[in-house]
Amino acid sequence: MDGAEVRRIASLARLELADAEVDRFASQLTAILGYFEKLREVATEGVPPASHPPELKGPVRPDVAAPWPDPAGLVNLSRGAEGEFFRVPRVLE
Amino acid sequence: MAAETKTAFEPVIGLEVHCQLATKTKLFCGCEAGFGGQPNSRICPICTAQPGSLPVLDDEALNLAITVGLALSCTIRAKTKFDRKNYFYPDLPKGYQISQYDEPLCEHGFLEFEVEKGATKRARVLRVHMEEDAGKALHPEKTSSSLVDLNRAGVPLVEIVGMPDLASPAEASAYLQALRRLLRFAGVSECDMEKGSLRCDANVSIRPVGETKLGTKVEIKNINSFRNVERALVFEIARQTEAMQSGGKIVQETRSFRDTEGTTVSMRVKESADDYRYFPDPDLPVFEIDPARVERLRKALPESFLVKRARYRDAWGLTEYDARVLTEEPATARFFEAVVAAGLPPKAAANWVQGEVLGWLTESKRELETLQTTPADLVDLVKMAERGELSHLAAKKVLRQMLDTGAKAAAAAQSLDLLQIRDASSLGATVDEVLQQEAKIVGDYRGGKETALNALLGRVMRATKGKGDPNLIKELLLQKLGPAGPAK
Amino acid sequence: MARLPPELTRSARAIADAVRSRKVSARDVADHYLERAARHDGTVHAFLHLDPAAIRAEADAVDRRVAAGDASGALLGVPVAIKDNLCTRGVPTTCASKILADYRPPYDATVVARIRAAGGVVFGKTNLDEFAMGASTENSGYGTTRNPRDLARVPGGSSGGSAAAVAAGFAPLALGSDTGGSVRQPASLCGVVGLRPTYGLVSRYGLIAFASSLDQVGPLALNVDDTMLLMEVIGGHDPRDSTSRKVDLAPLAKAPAPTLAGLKVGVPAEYKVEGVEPEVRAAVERCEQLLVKAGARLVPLALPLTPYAIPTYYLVVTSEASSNLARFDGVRYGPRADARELSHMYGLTRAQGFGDEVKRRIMLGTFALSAGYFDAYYKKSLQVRQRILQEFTEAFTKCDFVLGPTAPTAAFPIGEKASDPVQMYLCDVFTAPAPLAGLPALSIPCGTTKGGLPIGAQLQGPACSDFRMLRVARELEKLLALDLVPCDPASAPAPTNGGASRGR
Repeated sequence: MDGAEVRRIASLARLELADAEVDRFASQLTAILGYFEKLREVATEGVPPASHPPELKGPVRPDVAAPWPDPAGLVNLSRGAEGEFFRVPRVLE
Repeated sequence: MAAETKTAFEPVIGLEVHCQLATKTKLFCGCEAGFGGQPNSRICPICTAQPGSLPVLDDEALNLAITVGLALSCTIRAKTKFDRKNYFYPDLPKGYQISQYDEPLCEHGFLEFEVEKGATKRARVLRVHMEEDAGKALHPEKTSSSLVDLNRAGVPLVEIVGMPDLASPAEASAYLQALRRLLRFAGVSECDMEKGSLRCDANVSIRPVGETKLGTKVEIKNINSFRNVERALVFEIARQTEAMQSGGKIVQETRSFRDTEGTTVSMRVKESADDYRYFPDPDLPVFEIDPARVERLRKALPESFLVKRARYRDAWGLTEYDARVLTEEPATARFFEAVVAAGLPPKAAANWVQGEVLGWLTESKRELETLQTTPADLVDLVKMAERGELSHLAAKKVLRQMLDTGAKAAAAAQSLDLLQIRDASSLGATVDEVLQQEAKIVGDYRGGKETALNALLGRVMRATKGKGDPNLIKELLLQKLGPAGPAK
Repeated sequence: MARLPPELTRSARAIADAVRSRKVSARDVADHYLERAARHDGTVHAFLHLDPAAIRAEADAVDRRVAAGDASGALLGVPVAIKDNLCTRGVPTTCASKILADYRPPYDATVVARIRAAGGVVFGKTNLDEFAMGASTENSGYGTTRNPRDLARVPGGSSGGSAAAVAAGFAPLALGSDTGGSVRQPASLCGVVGLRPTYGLVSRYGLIAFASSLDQVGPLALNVDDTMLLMEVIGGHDPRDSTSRKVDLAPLAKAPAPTLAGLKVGVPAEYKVEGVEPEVRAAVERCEQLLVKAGARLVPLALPLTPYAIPTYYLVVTSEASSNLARFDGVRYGPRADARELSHMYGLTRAQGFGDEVKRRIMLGTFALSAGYFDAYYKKSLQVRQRILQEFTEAFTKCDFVLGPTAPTAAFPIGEKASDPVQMYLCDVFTAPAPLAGLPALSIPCGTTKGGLPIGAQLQGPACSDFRMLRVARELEKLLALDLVPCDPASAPAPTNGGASRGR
């Protein structure tokens, strides 16, 4: 992974890195990715990719309203709480 | 330079429609999913993405999504999963949207719709999938801030992706109207573009007439009304045609429709905008769709408006026009069918509902849903007229009163004092009075003038302020006077 | 000065019984542990947050409850330290990250609510590697925790604070979280018991997510019996967690105790590799001998996918983490950087708020999921994961449980591995496989090195065998006959000056 790739990834992940960091991360990430190459040694044709054990099934919940008792409290957790809203710097269109 | 003949191009259009499912709660949490409300009043730890919160799927959303698929003749998957679509935006609290990527709930369906009177077309539906809505970011003018309201964050949507089977802006508009009606009749959504429960993006490309390969596709967003669907498409097709005919190229991009100008403009391409890094949501295991659930929903699927229309026409003998009007909205059809169920023959029911009730609604700018008068009330009124308690004209007046005030038929008739008088003794008394007062006309009658009877009838009607039952009055007059000519 | 007698300080169950029978008050119990923490945590730094007044108030409430005649609650009056990635309503919950500085959750994690309902006293928030990413607690944004057995060494991670708190007698019980070994490895390095439950057996609602398909909350205690006690309280279905198993815990917890005679104990060849320190290997082999003497049978196993568990693990967790941590942007909670434009605010808030290891993992995950690399990295890792599950399923047809070391080494010096991420990742070689397969695993103390550093043995079992495994472990614990008591940090070798205490 070179510096340009690190910058692209960092941008996708919204991480503003300093130049010195970019180089440092580039070499560390290259080493780690190199280690991941080991997985090529494992045969996986026809193996279904899975995140959960097969016996786990998605549940549903009944369509009954359960309003949160303190919505204003949730807004006020924000450093940018402004009245009823979350305020953020302008999105550049 | 020789004049070149301009190539003729034809448009190819596919619509992507987002429709809010009419559930009580949001897709993955128990917050209310309705419209409006004070900003940030319908939020909870889950839809504000507090650390540690987790999603749990709403049962009714699953039912309604399957219903949409069934209504569009799609195949419903036996297993479905949710995927994360990752991007950053302030109206997207988790930094990802829970959606469905490569295994959508419903696939390979179609919508049959009318392109013009009598001619229908089938447009293919590629897929229908579930996803959660984002919140709203407001950008107040002259400030350097945006304000975020998360009331809508997490509201359940289905995305209905149509294949590029639509051949003109008019067809696209017809498709959307038909889709809206289908979804409303299926009871899955309000489909109100003003309230945001129906949204439409368009994919449009052009190609030389006769060519089968598709041209470069442009996506148009920000179409916020039915009228604007056609306006946006007309503009875009013209723009693309002009570009191609002057030797230019179409750039694959997303454009935004500008309402006031009626134009589309290129949206600024966000850096790395399209790498959403979809992957299966690890907080939601695979869902098994019980075939029994699908069967139950299939059986419960309300009749589509096309089927209703045909039934009204063919089985009930209504005119094409009446059948159309009565299947315009599900509430209208429901009301009409309830009137029939309550005892009126379909044609009579159609006349009263279509002719009187709908007319009154338009005049009073009211919605059928807000009407206090029930189908049973209407039938009561019509039966009163059939029994002769009201003249036909009086019945119309009484109906108006009922619609205006919510009164029942008998009460309204009373209050307007329009009940036909049918009591023989009281009418008889009035007849006697008139016979006494109108000696001259009686004399004419005795003189053999049969038409004098009508004049006497008229006098009695006047005396009863028009409420007398004319048949009974005539009967009583004949009883008392005998046939025209000298008294025996 | 409140001092509890030794028979209480070595057993949480004994404390609950004593409070229940009014032999001791919950307040006395709380004061004892508060005093120990006050005396020693300056050096150990197990806690990020400890509020004596709040703790005393909770203990007093328990006492009032008992006085009013309500002596129900399996954890009556027992202090439980909570890892700081579990939400505690109104109490700072930071995940040891600057990006959540001063964040006070509006709700309790399900496991925390269950502890309270059982009469337990929530006893402070413990230190961890930032967002549970690490194996030494050196990645904490608020300074590392020291191993109470040797203050110059790491306590392990990421639940280093919880393991250290129990080992040093700051609390009889603690909650940690285990994604790739984060409960078991620090338990091993600190000389306490740590359980990683079957995936889905304990609710994740309120556990701040690192890798959703692997995270599990796990109990830590001085002995197996106390571990079981806490597991019974926190485990069981939670409708708020879609990955929660609909299994009734009661029959599992009440199953009859297995005898060691005839028990088939799997011993994988891959666990006896070069990287394992000789003393660790010897301690685990002693366990094997004790079990054989008691009638168990050793079954040699081949688990050839073992070396692939770590790269698989790191691809899965970084991918999931890159997405789970996207919500930390300063918009709705946490500090936010000063910026005029939104992208800049996101970029700066996250760059300032996250430590290096977190940034590395977010970038790795973003990369693994991005277009063009998805099939080669993320999808491949999920396929290998399936194969690892199949390998274990195969193995459990031949044996009841698998035995091996928890970690390849005993506690290493602070700073030794901090600058080499890959070296740090290799600490997980024995603990990464079970989470990938969703299986339960337990670490119990099985001896010490000549230098007095604890060594842990790990048992792994089939899905939902947690309580059976705990019972087998209890038998093994009796055979090992170690003195399982809290240690006094003051008597550990003094730390050298070079010990790194910053996580960055």
